Amino acid sequence: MASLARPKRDTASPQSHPDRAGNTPARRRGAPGGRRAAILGLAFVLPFLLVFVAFRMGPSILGVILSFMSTSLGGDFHWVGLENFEALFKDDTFWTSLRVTLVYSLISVPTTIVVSLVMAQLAARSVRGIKIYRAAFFLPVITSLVTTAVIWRWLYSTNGPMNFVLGLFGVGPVPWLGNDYTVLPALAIVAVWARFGYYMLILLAGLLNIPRDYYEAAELDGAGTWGKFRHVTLPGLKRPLFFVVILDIVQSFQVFDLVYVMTGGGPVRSSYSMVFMIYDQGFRYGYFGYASAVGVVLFAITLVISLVQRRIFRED
Amino acid sequence: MKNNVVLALVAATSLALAACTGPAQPPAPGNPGASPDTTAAQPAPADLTGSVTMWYPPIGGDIERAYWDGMIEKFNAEYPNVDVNVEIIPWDSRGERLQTAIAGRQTPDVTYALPADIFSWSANGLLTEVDDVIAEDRDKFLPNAIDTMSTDGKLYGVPILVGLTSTVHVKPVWDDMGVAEADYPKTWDEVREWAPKLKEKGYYVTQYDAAPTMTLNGSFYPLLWSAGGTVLNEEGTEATLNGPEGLKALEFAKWLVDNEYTPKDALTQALPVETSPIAAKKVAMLFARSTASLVQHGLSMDELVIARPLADAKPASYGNVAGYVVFKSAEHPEAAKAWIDFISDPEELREFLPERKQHSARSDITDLFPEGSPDAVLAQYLDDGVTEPRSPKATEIMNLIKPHVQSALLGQTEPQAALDAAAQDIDAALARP
Repeated sequence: MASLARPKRDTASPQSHPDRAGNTPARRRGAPGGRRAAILGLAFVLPFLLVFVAFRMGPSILGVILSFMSTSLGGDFHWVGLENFEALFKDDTFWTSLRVTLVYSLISVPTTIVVSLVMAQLAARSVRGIKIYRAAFFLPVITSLVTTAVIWRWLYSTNGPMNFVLGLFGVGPVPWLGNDYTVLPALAIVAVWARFGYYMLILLAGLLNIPRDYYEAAELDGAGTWGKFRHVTLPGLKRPLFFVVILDIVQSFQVFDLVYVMTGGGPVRSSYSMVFMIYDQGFRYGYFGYASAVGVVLFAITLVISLVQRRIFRED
Repeated sequence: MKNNVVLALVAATSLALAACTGPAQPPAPGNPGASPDTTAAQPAPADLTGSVTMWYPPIGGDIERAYWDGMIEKFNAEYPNVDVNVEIIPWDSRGERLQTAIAGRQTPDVTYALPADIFSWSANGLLTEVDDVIAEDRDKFLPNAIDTMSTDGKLYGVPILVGLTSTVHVKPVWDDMGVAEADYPKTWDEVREWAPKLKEKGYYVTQYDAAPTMTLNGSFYPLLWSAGGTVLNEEGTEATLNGPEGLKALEFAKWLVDNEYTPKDALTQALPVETSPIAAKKVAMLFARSTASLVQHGLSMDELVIARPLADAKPASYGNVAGYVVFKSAEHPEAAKAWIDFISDPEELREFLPERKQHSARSDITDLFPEGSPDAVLAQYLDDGVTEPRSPKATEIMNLIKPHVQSALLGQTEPQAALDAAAQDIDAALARP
């Protein structure tokens, strides 16, 4: 009787989908030792879960609560309801920081993704010494962002290498970090350089996971390079691309290090990002409630964009 | 993944939690139930117990660790039961570090404080009064130093040093121009006269730093004060920088920029020390600088000539006062006071100040520097020092002004409109609780 009961439970399970070969996977809960394995798995995850709840979730929730409070350096905390948000939406500096963050992200995210994708395609090729190239491309990722920023500040300076090269063609000098129109693209270029290596690795793993048969089938159907990329590579990279895009959007919305080191939010607040505003309000002036309100708005924007992104990338 | 938002929220909320559970004020040693501010009779040094932690920025650079270890040793010879720990904290982010420590109730017991710190911390009730520490020789301190370290007539910091960022001339540049020291420009008008001549020979008359990371104490404020203006009114309740004096100061700075008498790069970014025009000896004079900052650019003291602050309506520049404060959260305030009394003793300061090229906040400590030396020359001009605005929001006010001044200098806004906008922002900040 026991042998009859097992398939009955399996067919009732909504998670039991047949694979491409038509086989139905056995349900873990019903498998011998499944409960033990689940407990063991939980035990492995538990330390991280505890740390995550204690140091990420908990403070985040408390941060939301703090955004409804007025604070002072003297330690006075008063519940003020929505006052911080009302003041925030009337604050020109907030709208400036929001505009800066959005424009920076609009430049940075697509550029980073395109560069990462191109580099992943190049790194997927079987050429002599490709592992060295891959390692070299990844190097900026493990370099401290502050060090990166200091070096790029020099590269962008009036007498720096960038302007020297432009000068050879009779162009410039360009005030890369000193002009409203060039400062955000200049910062975005640094961000691309610092981040593409990590995304490249993720996309590379996705690329290498696409069966070669698909490309061969596409070739037989007469697809060219673009056709194979459009109809095989991109659909095959849907999941890694979703991950990379979300990750980069979050990173771009949280831009701080580069701004802090390279521009200080200038010139004339044209690189004054939302996280820089949080830093200013909280850590320079001591308005932790107000700073938390900016943080909550930033979280809400990031969440909405992520949900929209999730919907767009949803599996058919 | 770097998660700055979450980090910020974590910090802020952690601080909030910590603030809700701030430590209760302990009674003064030997006087149970008394407030820490009490000026009751001090216990004998050998009877004083407790621990003191001090945060101190390295004014003297590498010499500090050895100096403070020696001081602790000397102090413990007199106070054997007080455990002192001096932490040398970096200058960079000193303000933010203290700000977050205060909000999180993780302050040291004692720290080295500047005027803006005193204005902010005393207004928030964070400091212990230290009138009793200097009670015996209060009349030996410079009145301006006592005044700057006080709020509402109560002293919150024991002044140890005063300083001035004055005009510093780069001798090789003026030598090349064939100008003798006696003829160096002393007023705005003389600067106007010399700037085009210097430009003709490939020099900048000055380097006006307007990057967001640079302090206005070294750029706009000295010009404003020199023109006779102030950032706030006397009561500290309203912005006044948009008056005629402020306009004159900003138009003078803009004249320097528009005519390329100052490096344009310096308007938007802090120039790298090694490759700056100052390091290349292309700048003739700095309006409000310390010689130490120029030595960092590779200039030698022989190449620098200290002069009186530049004058328009009057000579004026940033005058610094620094001292030691005791936080109210100190667990052993009497031990903390004994420690700052010990380290601000005149005999100790006679060793401390010259090594750090600083001047005394006491009138009975004189002749610290050889006659004719740059530091001895600077001592003559200390009275030209201005510390303003005297507001708990001084740091915020400065950061509100910076983008407007920068906007005018970059030609994006008319000077008067920029100053009016700055004044509006300041008034809004002052109105905020």
